[in-house]
Amino acid sequence: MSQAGVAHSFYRIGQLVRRSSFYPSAKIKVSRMKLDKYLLMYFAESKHCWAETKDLKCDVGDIVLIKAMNQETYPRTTFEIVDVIFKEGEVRDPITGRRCRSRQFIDETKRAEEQKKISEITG
Amino acid sequence: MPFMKGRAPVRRTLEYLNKGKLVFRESVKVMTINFNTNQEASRGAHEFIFWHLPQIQFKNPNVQILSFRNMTPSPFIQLFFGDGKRLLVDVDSRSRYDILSHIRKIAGKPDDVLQAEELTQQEKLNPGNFGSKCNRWCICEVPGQIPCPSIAPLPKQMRGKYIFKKRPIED
Repeated sequence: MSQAGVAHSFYRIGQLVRRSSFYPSAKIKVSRMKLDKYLLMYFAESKHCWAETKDLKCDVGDIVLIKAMNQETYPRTTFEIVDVIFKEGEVRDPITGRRCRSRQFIDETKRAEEQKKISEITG
Repeated sequence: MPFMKGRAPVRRTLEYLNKGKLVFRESVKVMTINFNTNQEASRGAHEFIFWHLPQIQFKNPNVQILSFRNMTPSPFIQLFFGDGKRLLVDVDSRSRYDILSHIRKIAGKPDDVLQAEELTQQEKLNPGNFGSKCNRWCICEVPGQIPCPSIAPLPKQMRGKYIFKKRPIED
């Protein structure tokens, strides 16, 4: 997969919960599966962390890929957002690259026509 | 089996969890599975999660495994590596056996590496140790050592009640 000698970083995927109003950082909710040792079942446990939003346009609800940083650039910000995996309201199927709404693909031509009609009505 | 309630409770036994064959390479950090409910094409992915997700998470406690439902029309698995690379696996209309063997081939440790790791772990267990988790419980079991005081009492000059309380040794 990777060449020998390439440094491996710590990655996690989480959901953007809120943005900081003071610093360019966002609170990310990261879910992990934790084993209940008596039932021997896995239950989801979530932790929150702060991640620096670089120049990415990410908003509340996006599923993002975060990477651990070596130092804290802003207070308690130990991660940085590398990429937006699924954008809220603009989910793209990675296999085809097309926009989709839940289990249906969005017909781009129909959408463009509807947008044109709406803009004509609203002026 | 007490408390073995629910669907397929065999999944919740240590024996089943330990039998998981998929051990990810160190570079794998996150695995996400996208599938859809009540969709024939997602059946393999759904069964993969039902049967193999606990095993995979048990064998790979440091890998984050997420499953997303009904987000995209087709099911797929994404793997995120520590060097920033990603892998997309299309699992549309594939059986769970097919998916598992494919993921094992592309991102799992091969069988010979797993066997070698198991051997090195066994060698680390020192045969010279004794205790509750070892072959011998107490050093008195070793020939040449002092016999167990429960069977043959120690000489009085070795016993604390005579040494520390300074009781007379000769009666």
